Amino acid sequence: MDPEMLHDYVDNQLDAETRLEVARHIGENPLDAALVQAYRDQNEALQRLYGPTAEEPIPQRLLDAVEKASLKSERERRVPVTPRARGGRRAAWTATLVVVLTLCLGGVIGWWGRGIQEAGFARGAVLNAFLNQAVQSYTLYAGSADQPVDAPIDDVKKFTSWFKNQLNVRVLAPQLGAGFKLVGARILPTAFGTAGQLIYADQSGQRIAVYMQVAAAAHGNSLAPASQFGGDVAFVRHGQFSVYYWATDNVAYALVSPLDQNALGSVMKKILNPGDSGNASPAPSTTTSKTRA
Amino acid sequence: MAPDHLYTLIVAEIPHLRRYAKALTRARQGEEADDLVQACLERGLSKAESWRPDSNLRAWLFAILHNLHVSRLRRRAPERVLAQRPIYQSATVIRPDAYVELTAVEQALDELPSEQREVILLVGLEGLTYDEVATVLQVPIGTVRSRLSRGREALRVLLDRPRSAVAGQS
Repeated sequence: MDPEMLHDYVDNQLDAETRLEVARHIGENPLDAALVQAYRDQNEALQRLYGPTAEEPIPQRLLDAVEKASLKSERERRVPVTPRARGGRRAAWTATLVVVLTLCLGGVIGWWGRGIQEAGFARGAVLNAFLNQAVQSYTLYAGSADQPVDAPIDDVKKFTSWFKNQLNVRVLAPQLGAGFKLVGARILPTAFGTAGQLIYADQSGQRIAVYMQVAAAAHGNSLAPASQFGGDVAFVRHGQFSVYYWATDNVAYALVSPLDQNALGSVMKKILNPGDSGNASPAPSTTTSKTRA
Repeated sequence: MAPDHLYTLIVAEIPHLRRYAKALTRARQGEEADDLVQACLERGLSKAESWRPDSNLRAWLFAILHNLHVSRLRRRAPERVLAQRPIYQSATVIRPDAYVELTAVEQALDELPSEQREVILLVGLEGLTYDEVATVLQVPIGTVRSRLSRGREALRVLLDRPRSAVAGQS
């Protein structure tokens, strides 16, 4: 086997079919398996060495540099900016800093979910924290295709009602579309409140996780299905992961996977337009929320 | 894409830029790395109006960072080579045995040619795809793969040395 293929494998750069071939080869060749492990250990060591830097608060001078350019661009575009609007923008920016620096919890995601236009770039830091959590939970719990899911789903229906009671959200599609089936799930405590993670896998072992962050306070809001948020679904590459994310009034969602944008996009489309697949609707939406005990 | 949204996305990239800059400069204090990130942001923001929404923002910003780093190194190459490089210090408490291991990893990284080290960091630390790395470094993807393959293999061999040789312990 071409040694470079082992790196392609470690770095998730292969299509599903080739990936399976390489996995089979590794299973039969302990020496190559040891190499793959050594390269993974290297990556892990790099994360331990330098990873904490990405978790540090962003230095003020860097935020200032972006804010300065943003305000300048706003002036140059000659959008009429009333003093009040600019003040509001300033306020939103300051509010975000306070939120990020103190990790004050209540309503963060509610604020976050107000929409791109309204919150402007101030949303970035909170959004970044959310995306980091989503991707980290994927790395920790969904990992690579050969890593077992440690909270398996035996009885989908039983699980469905349990998850609904825990989180007051309904995201419960046994089938995510494109052959992805629910294989595991868990509730996660985070700095922003309760989060949930659903792990889906297809036959080749490719995985997708749906990460949900619930705002600290839910007041019986009934959320619209994600199809009504079509315009607000955004995509970002986060490390080696593709992430689609969107938010309803009190839940922020992220679809995380090492799949490329196109492959994950077709799954995302099925979530937005469940009618196409004929499956039970996987569109993220809540039932009428009850306040959790 | 609305320009406002672009600034949102740029802020979201800052932690990644800082992490890569620190790994690249291996500065004891973050100042040197953050100087690099700030220069990168300013350069990028000054060209923000010409940024195309369908292009890859992360690769674009990393490319700017990389070019700035290379031109800075070129300006002061001699002292750089002679400088005693301290182990990277983070706020995180590291277990003593892990510390020894990480010291070894960092020393081994130092021994690699910088072109291999960059690819290892961009892929292994930042999780960029090979395509993105090719964009950042402005080299063909085949070059990315071969540098990665050679670099990781060299790193593995270096780390296989007896621990006492790199850490002064038996």
